[in-house]
Amino acid sequence: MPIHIPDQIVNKATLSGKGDTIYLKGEIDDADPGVLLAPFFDLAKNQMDDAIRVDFTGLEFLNSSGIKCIVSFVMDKKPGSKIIFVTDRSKTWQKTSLEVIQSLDEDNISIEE
Amino acid sequence: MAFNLNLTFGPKWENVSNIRNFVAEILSTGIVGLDDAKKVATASSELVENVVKYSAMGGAVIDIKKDPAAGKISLTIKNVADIKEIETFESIYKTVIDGDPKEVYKKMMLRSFNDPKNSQLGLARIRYECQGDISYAIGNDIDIISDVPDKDKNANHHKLLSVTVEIPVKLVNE
Repeated sequence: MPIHIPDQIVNKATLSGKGDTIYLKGEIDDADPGVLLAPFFDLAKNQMDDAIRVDFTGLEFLNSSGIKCIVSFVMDKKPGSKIIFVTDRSKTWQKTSLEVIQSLDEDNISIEE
Repeated sequence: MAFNLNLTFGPKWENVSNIRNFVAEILSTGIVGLDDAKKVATASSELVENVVKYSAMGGAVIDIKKDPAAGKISLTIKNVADIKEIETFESIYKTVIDGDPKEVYKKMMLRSFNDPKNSQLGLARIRYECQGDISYAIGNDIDIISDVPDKDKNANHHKLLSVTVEIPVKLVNE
């Protein structure tokens, strides 16, 4: 089933999903980004097939509380499912933090530039 | 050329992004390269977040210095915090300060997954992502922070927490 999540615009972030990809754009630096991200990732998990692409290329900044949400998403994924991070390596946080998240489950998480 | 910026701010959430964006913009005007400006801005964002979440009272002071001879930016943030909050900070600091920064960041990510409320990733992120060397000091001179009410009364339960991060930067042509 293709993913279909209409644009959710909260503060400086826009979240959406289409086909096999979910998109995170803007800046996420809320005090508790889990309020925004947890239900979005739940929707994505319910709609995804065996693999999902997470496109961070339009996400300029993610605070450490938001990184915790990404960690929860990948650790709680469906058993055996694959996650592909689509990244922009010119954004320092993506190069470093997403690389460490990938190392939590190298068999099932990959990074595309 | 040396550079020194000193800001006093209120512990409001809007100031997290205000200061992050300000630091990135001013440092990228020829003071350091863009990547280094982003690293310092990320570190400032994480430190200011901590202050806004845990600052017990009054405002906070952030001081940013560039020492061209040492090839680094020094970022110091001072705030008045409850002694219990300072103990929590010290506990996290001791957990993240030793060992390979990437492995420590990974360990803290796994720990955050098991903590339903707190991420506590900020200091580990600063060490790895910003290549920051973190130190701290605890003092009694809470007078240097503005807007702290009943300073004499609060001096028993509150201290001045000063956190410094030194980040290596490439020198740019000036």
